[in-house]
Amino acid sequence: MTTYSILSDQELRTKLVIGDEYAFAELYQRYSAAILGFVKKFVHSADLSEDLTQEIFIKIWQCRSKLADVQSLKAYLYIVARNHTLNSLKKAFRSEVAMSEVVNSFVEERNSTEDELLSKEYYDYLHNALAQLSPRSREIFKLCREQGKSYDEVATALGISRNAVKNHMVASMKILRTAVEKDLGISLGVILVMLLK
Amino acid sequence: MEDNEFYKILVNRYINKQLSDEELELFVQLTKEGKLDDHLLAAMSKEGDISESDQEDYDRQTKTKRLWYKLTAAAVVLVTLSVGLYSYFNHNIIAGNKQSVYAKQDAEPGGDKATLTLADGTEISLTDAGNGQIAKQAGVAITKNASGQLVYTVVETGKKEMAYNTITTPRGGQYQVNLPDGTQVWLNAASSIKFPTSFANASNRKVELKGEAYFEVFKNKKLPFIVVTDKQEVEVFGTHFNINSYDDEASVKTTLLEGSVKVSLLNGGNKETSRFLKPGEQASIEYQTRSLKIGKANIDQVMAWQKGYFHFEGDDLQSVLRQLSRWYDVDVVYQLSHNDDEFMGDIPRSVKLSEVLKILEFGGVHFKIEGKKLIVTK
Repeated sequence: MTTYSILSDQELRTKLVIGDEYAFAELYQRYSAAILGFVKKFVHSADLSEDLTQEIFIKIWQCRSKLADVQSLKAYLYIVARNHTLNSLKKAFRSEVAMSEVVNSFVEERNSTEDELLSKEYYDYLHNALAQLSPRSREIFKLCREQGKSYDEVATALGISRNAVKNHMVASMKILRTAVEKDLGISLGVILVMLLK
Repeated sequence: MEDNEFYKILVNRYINKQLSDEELELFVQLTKEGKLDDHLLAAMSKEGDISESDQEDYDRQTKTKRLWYKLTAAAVVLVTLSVGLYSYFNHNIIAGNKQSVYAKQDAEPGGDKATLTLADGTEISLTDAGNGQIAKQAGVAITKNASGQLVYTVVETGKKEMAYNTITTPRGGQYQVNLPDGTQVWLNAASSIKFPTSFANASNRKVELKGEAYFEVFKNKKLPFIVVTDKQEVEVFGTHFNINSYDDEASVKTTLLEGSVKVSLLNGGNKETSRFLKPGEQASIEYQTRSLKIGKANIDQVMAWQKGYFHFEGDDLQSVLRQLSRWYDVDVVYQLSHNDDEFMGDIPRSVKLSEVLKILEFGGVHFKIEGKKLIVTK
């Protein structure tokens, strides 16, 4: 809604607290790309980054009452994103399936051209620490480097609900907003209709 | 090399995508163990431009108690603001060639309407009654206060007989009443609550409910508060909970927000099974199978009506229309074989029926309002 895009973060925050769903759609419009970029920087997998971003926005909405006295909406959003990203990264590494998703995405994007000169001490520490890892854990890493799993398996392992509902919810909000801008309806309710076959 | 030194370099190289397979393997292990938490958090905070004061601000908010369901003026403000926004939008949207299909026939949203039936059978309309004392009977004064709530005050004690009052909301009505013990009850549309006018000489606080109500029970450990519905009895001491017992729904649902509640399945007036609920849980007694189940509650969905809006989350068309029929006082007539739509979203209860229907029509169904009938076609 063009009327919402001119609202300041503070004004948007006030509307979010009272449950205004258009405000949520505007929040998503305003910050989802930046949050996606942020998450991806630390998680590397594009698929996983998308899902985590959605979860972050949904968390913000579910706990919107906490926004009441927040000074900076943007910082708050980043803090939720930071915490959720770190927790999810750790959770991913505890699952073989999800670990391979992150590891293999990392390897795909690896910057091997930018090799910095590392000290001998660094390598000594590295090899020392690696030697102390259990054979089982070394084996797991080796296997996950060799195979990739389907992303659906990753999502299941991480308990990410990739169900249509959530994806539709956010996508549909964008559609509805566009529709409203084209004068299709005057209502405060953001109703999303899902047609199931 | 110190651990921290190494960790710092490792994390940076992870972010810059420079790790070799060996380094990556170690990174994964250290992250799992939580050893890189501080460094990862620091890197993320730097990337996200999060300052110390931002962090303090955040910590303060997460410690705050959830204010959502407390009875405050904020609930009233919510609806008012929504209505304000509604007219704001109306002015700002370019008028197109929109002839409202519902121009001639529409249904107004519900409001604070109810009837009070006294012990002697006298009926008083609370909708039309002015503020101030409405009735005085059996040693109890019943007053309607400035916010429209009904308040019971015991005037004389000494009366031994139990006198009962009933407050009934029609379709399109809702009401809030303060019971003689200070318990607050919000009645949804097409509901009724029957209660004694004074709990003075009682061994418990027993009320009968039909339909749906949200309770904030005044804490009294000596006097259990009991809500009886057709198939269920709920016992509490001081709590916030919602009961949905419409007989055209498949089950009685009791949702606990705060405190503790004992839910019992009734069989011909006798308690068959009992279970305790914890906050955030919902007990569901299916009318047909008479089974009592406990599960996690979706508080947003359950409490939406009391906060002034409809909340749909994967509801089918029939479920949506049952709620609309109670609030807009219309009878639904289906002229289509079946419908698979699932509806999601929130709509304020303060808008007219036509506005709600306009949105539902996105799903491909069509509606017509004819008097008190809501006709649904393909």
